[in-house]
Amino acid sequence: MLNFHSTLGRRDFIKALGLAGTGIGVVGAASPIFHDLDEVIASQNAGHKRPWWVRERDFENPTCEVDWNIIKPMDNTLCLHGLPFGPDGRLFTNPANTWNKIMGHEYVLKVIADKDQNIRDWVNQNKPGWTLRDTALSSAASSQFAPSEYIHTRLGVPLPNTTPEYFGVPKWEGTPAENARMVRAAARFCGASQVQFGVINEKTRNLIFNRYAVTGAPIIYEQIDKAYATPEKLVLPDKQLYAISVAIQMDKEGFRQGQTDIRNAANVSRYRLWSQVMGCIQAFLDGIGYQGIGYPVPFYGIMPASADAILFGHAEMSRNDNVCISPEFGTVCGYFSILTDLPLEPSPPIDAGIYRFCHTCRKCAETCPEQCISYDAEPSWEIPHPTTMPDKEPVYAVPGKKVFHTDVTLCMKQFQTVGIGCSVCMGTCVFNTNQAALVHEIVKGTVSTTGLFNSFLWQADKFFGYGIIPEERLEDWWDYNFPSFGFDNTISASTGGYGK
Amino acid sequence: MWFMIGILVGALILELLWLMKRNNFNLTWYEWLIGAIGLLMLLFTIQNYFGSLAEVEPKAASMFLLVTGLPSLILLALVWQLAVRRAKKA
Repeated sequence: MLNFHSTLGRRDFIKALGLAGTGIGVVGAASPIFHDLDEVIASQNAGHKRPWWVRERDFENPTCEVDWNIIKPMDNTLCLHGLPFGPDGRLFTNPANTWNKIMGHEYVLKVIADKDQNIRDWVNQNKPGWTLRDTALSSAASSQFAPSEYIHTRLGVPLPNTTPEYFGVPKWEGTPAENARMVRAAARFCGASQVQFGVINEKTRNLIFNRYAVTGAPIIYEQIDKAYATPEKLVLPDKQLYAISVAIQMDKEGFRQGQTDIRNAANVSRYRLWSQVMGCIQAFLDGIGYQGIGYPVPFYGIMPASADAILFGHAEMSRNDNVCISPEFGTVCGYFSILTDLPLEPSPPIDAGIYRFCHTCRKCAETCPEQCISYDAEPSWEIPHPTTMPDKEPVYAVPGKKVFHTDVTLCMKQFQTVGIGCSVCMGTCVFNTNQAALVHEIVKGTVSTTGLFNSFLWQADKFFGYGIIPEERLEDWWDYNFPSFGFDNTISASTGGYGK
Repeated sequence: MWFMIGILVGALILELLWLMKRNNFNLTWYEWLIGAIGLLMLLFTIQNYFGSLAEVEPKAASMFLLVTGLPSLILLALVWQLAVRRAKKA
């Protein structure tokens, strides 16, 4: 016989009510109440809240092994993008470019010519993903960049910069932790998806390139207080510097479009957004009396942004060593770095089980059109030679990382053949999911806790049909109603009722 | 959505308890267990079905109906049949 009778007496009920009221009062008293921005940034609660399954690791010790004795500053003209612009101003038409030197200038020119012809043919054929409106979107996404400067000069901005000198006050002073929270708040307000920080020490200083990719200008240190640039050199002050690593999300659905111009639009948008965010961060740092050292030319900085993203806790390395994966944003996220002299509390690398998962999963490798992603079971310190040019040295890669090495020469070919990018690996990745279905949080929590189910989860992802969408649905993109910029900027918000 | 589902599930459980009282029968512990698992799987299916549709993942949505939705209905039907047959025997 079930008991439906309540045994709670009136006295007990009133007592329980009193206890509950006291409990709520204590919680309320302990909750932070902020009166102004100074109190917000001084509060521990103003920090970056992450899911429970994201664990922090020791500094300079990410889940991908790094041999800091081997890591040395790279001559970034040797990356495949090195010295990219030819006399016609186009990307990769310069015979001195590294990709040209490895694959041959005539070969590269033919790839570019084929690409141009392909796009013309596809638009004329009204090919899904390459219709006139798709190419117009891609063109629009790359049409409005803000000025990109090594040292911010407010190029084209009619209003004066309100620096401490302007007001006649001393520069901003705060603890590194307070400064980090303050810069995060400012950067996110200006459009950054998330921000992490690093200290430039004897190890991480080796990540700063010694030559600039676009011009070949040497990047050198001088005993000065402020960085400066001339056409011949980029100069850094030989003093304590800090890195600001910025994540800019991209349109996940755009990347699920595969090799299309909608995907291209999604990809190039991060650079357009970054050009603006970078200028804003630099102006903010100027405004409090410090300096932000940015990208002299759009697209090309003075540090490897993905390395920063991994070392400073945005993301983990993936099976494709060209891509890193964020616990919150997945694969479809861009990373950028600027340097500053504002003291910042560093953020450690993270472990969410992502790189371990990539040891088992080969979904990106199976999907890659050029088959340039490794199928190996274990990562390696050894950098393989280019598959199609085995006599050429892999000068474009820096030794000292135990990773799955992608053949970037083939990747670049595919990248160029289909307009301005492929990135099928990023679109198809198991971690390129949205947040509406509860299953994703359960899977991420499981992946972080144990590697036991990794193989099953990889197969389940394929079975459930996640990844690149079929061709017949490509043009459906135009009928959807996605958020501004194509991504959910509330993902890593934890206050104001916006957080997930 | 969870608020509405909570109200609906609460109403269904109340209805079940009321029916049990009116007809004077009980469920065994394992029937409660199977029923609870079936109900949780059904809720999981509903959330992921609509979540997947919202994510523009129609195949995933359908797969949830098949992989977790169907077993959840089988479990709930099993509890129902176990209870009904036991009641008939009594």
